[in-house]
Amino acid sequence: MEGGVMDSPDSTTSRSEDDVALQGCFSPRRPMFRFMGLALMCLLGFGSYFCYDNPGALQNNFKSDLDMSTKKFVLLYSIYSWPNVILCFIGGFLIDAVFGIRWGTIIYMSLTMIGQLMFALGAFVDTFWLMMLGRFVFGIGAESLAVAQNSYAVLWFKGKELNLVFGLQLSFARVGSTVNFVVMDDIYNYVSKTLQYSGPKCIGAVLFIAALTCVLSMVCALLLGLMDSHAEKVLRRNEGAPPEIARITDVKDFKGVFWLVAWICVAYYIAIFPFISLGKVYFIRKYGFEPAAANTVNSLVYFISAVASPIFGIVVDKMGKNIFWVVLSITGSLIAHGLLAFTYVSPYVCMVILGLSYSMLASGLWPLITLIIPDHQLGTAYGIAQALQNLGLAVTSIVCGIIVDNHGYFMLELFFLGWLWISLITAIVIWITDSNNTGGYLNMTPKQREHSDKNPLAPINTEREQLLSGNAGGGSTSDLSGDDLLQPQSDDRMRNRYLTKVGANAGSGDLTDDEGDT
Amino acid sequence: MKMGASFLTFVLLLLAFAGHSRASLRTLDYTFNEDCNELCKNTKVKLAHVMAIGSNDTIHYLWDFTENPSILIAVTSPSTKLKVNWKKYLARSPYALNFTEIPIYTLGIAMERLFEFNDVNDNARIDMVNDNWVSELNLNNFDWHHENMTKYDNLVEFKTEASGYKDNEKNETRKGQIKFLMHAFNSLNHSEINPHMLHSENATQMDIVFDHLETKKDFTASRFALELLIVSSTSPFNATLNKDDTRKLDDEFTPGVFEVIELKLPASYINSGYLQWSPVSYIYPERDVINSTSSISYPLKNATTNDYFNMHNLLYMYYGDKLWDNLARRMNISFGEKDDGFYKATNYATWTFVTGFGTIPAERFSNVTILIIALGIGIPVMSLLFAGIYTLVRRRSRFNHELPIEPSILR
Repeated sequence: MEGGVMDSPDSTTSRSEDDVALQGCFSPRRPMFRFMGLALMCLLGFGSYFCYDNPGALQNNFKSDLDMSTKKFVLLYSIYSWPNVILCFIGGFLIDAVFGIRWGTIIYMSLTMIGQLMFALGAFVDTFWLMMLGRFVFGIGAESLAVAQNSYAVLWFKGKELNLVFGLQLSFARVGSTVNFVVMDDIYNYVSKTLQYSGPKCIGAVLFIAALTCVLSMVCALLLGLMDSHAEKVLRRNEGAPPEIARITDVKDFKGVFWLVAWICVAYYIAIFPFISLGKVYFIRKYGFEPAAANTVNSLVYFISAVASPIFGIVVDKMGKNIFWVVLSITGSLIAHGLLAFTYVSPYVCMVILGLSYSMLASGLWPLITLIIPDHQLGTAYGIAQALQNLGLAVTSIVCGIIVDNHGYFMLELFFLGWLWISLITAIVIWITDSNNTGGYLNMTPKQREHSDKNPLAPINTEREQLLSGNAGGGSTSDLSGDDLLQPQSDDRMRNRYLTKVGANAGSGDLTDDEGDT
Repeated sequence: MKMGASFLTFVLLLLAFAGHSRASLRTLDYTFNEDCNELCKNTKVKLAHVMAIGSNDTIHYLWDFTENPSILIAVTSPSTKLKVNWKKYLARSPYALNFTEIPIYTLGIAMERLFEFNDVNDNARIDMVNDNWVSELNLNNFDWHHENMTKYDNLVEFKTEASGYKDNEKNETRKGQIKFLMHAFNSLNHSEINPHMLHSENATQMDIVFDHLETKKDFTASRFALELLIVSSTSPFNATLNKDDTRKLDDEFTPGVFEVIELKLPASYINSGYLQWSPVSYIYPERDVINSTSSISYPLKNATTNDYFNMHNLLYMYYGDKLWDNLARRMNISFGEKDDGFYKATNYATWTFVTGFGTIPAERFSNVTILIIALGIGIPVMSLLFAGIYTLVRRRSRFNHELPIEPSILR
């Protein structure tokens, strides 16, 4: 966090010191500026997360005031999630190729807000199709907005506190939905008792009030746009080099590693979100918990992630080694689900482990994409990852219901454990292929990455260090995997290996000199 | 390849191990109102008798639906026969039934009373409501119908139904019915009916459905409850009874239900009987997790002759006054839990229990579960092994490549 210079990775290095804008207190180079931006980025998502769970918080009122069956009620959530299986991929791509980040954010935020207003109006006049249309529009906006939020974070914080920012965004999302669950009842009571609304009008009025959070987020989107445009001018971002344009066909050139990461996004989260949605009943059934206690245990994961995500974010910012954290957190989740499935260990313990693992994974996994995909395609990449995740969740939440009904919760736990195994294996595959292809770039510390970015031969050097560390005793780089054995044979490699062999016999004096100043 | 094959064998072995079922099957045979002929015509007598004949003993299951629905289990030598004195039986007098040899063990269960209680405070417990809010339905006031007994591959089935409740004294009628489904088994298996109780070849199962049974008009929060009389031919002295509430890991057979309640009669003897049920009650004919609520069982009470003891029930007709020399207990069970909207929510409630002789069969993981766990552990282990071998091979070949001189030296 030292320095406080905000230079995005593609910023040009030439800056005139006498630029007035850089000296003022509203200078993009000051930490204040970045952290104001951070606050806005977090608040940006608040409205959508708050409104997303409005129906959930008012489930009983929805059913009674609007005379809605459970089936119809569930549709309000399905219409949100299913279209986004495709749409947030398109949304991400449009940010890269057409709108740009600022307009993209504003447009998606507007869609979110308009959707919520339509939803509220639909409830107010008791017209179900309008409510559905509202949720549909809201969904398109909100999910693509999440992609835009990620892109902003990357643009402003890559190479800096990016993981912390991701963590904070994640916890703010949790805060949004938690606040919703806490306050909606009170708002409803206020509207129905003090303002004397009743029936559909009451629900409608409550939803209009909830829409104020979207207005707040809209203001944030506008402010953030202004700040970003200011920063771009002052820092002369994108000057010099012609901006690279994203094309939809870029997708086919995405590296294999990206698809593996996206696959973890799918496989891992299956063991989290559908579990939490079924968790309450599981704790009541298996552990004999009272409903209130079951709710508490169930929401532990989110509470913990609200606190732990920023902390793990800082840890990953400082230490790097993203894949190590991913593997560790998947292992942690495996242990947690294993305890839930095969033992009667207190579910508090299991859920704390799961919550910590979940937060750690988010800090390690999502930033990986920024290390794999060029900046100008990040919107598309995040869009794809999120779309695939939505697809996985939409399908499995149906499958999970079927499993529970026909084969019970134990089978469901095995199902989750299976997906965790799959994601663990995928993570290990990423670890191995990455150390083969890039010399372990994804699992480097930030300093090593910097070094590697400047000097493309760096991976080979680190590799040599590892090989030599055995006898030269110096500078062992990282926890390594011994995967070097699987690496392709380049000439340099062969030479290195040959040198080690020789070194082992003929003393290591020359070699340490060779190594230079590592 | 070799490893794949050995892994496969391992899985198959596991399956074989898991899939083994007890060899000692019993042969099932049944009669209905055995040899009664003319005497039983135009009477409401319903006595079903199933014999589960094994190599060392025969288990007789008597299901009587003449007055109180009752079960009598008698474990006898293989050649022992049941003798019914039908005149006495029709007169409902004691000792109307006996066996040609004294049974090794007998266990009787009678549904003595059926209650409806008005659970105004939604505690779901019959012992927490005011006595005024408890009403009793006399089981004799129902019309009883039955279907023919049927024998399937591994069980004998008997269906009866009580409907058309009419209490002439109170001038009260009720629509709806109570359905009883009786099964006697010849092998170790899970019942096909949810909650899929595990039964041995020494067991019988009763499944009760309160199907749209009309509730009292002035009761707004009705729930139903039963009182059972349980008699085990063991000395009542020093006999301890355990009602165990055990929790299991696997709810595969009874989705959403992790508990099994076991009542061993008495706890210490091996040659004795047991009752077993899941604390669940289904509220729709589709017996799913979401369509379920709880059944609540209450502490056992000592049973004595008292004003509501019906001398016409099967147990008294078998044991006579000697009934009270045996271990006799009463137990209540009620259907429904807090916040489930009471019986009126769906007008449907069920209860299923297994009762039998010998040790309670131990629940085990299903083959599918074992296969999944085996694959879950097997695949990563396999891939690790393969990766290891691959690495070794690579290292070898690389070693050879690195020193191209070597082969020529050898030549």
